[in-house]
Amino acid sequence: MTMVIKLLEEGKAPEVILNEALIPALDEVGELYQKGEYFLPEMLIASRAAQRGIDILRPKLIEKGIKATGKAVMGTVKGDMHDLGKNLVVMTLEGAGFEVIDVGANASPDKFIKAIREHKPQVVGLSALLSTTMPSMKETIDTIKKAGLRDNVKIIVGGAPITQKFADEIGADFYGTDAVAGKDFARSVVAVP
Amino acid sequence: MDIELHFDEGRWLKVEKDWSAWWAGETDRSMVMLQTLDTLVNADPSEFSIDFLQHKPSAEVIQYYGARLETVEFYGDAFPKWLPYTGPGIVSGFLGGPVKPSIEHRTVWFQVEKPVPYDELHLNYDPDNIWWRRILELTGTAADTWGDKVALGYTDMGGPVDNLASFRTTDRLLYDLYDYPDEVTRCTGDLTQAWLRYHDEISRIVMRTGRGTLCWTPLLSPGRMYMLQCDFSAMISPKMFEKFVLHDLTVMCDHLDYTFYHLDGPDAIRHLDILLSIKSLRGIQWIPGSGNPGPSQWLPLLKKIREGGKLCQVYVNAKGALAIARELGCSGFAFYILPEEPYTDTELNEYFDLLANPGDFLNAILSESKGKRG
Repeated sequence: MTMVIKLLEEGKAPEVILNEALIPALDEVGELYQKGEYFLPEMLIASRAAQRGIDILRPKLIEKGIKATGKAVMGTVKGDMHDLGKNLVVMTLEGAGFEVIDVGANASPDKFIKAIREHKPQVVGLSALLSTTMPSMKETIDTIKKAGLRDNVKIIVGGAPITQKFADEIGADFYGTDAVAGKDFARSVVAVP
Repeated sequence: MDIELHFDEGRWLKVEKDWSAWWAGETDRSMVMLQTLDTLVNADPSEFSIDFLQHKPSAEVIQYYGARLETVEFYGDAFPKWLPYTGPGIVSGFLGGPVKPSIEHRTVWFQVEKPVPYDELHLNYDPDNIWWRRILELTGTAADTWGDKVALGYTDMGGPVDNLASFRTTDRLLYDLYDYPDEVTRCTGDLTQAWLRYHDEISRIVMRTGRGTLCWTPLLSPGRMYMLQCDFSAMISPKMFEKFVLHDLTVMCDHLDYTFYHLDGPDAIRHLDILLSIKSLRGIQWIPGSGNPGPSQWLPLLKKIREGGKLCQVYVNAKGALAIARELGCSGFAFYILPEEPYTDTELNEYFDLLANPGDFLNAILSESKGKRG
């Protein structure tokens, strides 16, 4: 945060700070996480620091008419109160310049539908940590289909009990093994290199 | 009140002798636990309910569970056992944390809605806590009612770091390792001392049966045992494990007589070298986790545990137990035979067939023991 303020005071453009400092820094943290050198505490501390920097940059970016990289709706599915994984993905996506609508934990399919209709995201992320709440993921995807919104979004699923097989069975577009993988997929959806 | 079990004194003497020999490394065979499912007598959908365990007279609770035990057949090294259960990690509740049952999900949530500030966290033994009094009452009534016919276990106490997460929330505790490291160390130290005090008090009751002790994994032990854990550690580095978990874990291992460690999922494996270095830790339980292959697909890991000088326990189907025994030998292993995920019709039918006719399997695994060392 201190560094962001210093760079702004030096006259650096907010989008330059975001794209050439914060996002690459978080990408490096993500790489270290995927290599197994950094773990959740390190990811969270880094993401928090980046978020505080982004909070300072956001009004300046809006002022300049610079839009978010993309938009995502994230939530933990109905019946599941765990939100750590979901929160990490939210922070990672925000660190990558996404606008994220967090529908929280224990989110019903209707909550996701409402958020998709209101915010028109490119990406929807579903998280579950309990094997007993995995069916809620299928229910949510089926509800999105029934609402006629399936073709408008790409759906990422993730969480400890989730597997690629399960993701394929329920019709998800991507199985995120971790927050970084989810972010990379979301970026590919909005075609950010 | 008497209890009519499918288990006599002769069998008790054998299982006690065999389990003691297993702990001491004095047998080449594996321990094999197999038992039929207890029949729900007067099945009540609210059976898993905090109200049921908190407000029903303890004599009624014990009578209910006694009736269920009477329907069970025990095979191999299995034995009649019981412990009062109010969710995974009730020590948080003993220290004033929230205790929220979820009948739908058949579990109990212990976490606060918002982190308790560290200056309000004084986690010391509280003899008057209602959950603690209830556990003492239920365990005591079980001991008085069943005498030496049923081995009694420690309730599910959790581990100090997981208990702390109940008061700070898991999310916040991950930040605390960087933001408030000294407070984390203070609180886990206090939790460890409180935990050991609660364990000591329960020991005085469970050991009255004269049948040894056990916990939620039924490894019958001639002294004070527990399955130690730190589920939180799946999210942290080995360096953080060494800084925040190792010291208290070692204190617990040194204090108790027979300790195992609950190694839960692939993300916990990174701490195995540290665990193997704890001299007073007797064994490691390996749980692959939902969605992962069963224990027999982790032979290098099981081999490492055994070569590290530790006993090893797994929940495994009959085929898996035989596979492990054939590849790694039987010595030092304890197999609790259950169906493995995914619970296909084939998997479940094989399990029920085994329960109907366990002799061939038990003979097969015994024959693997003869002349082999793991």
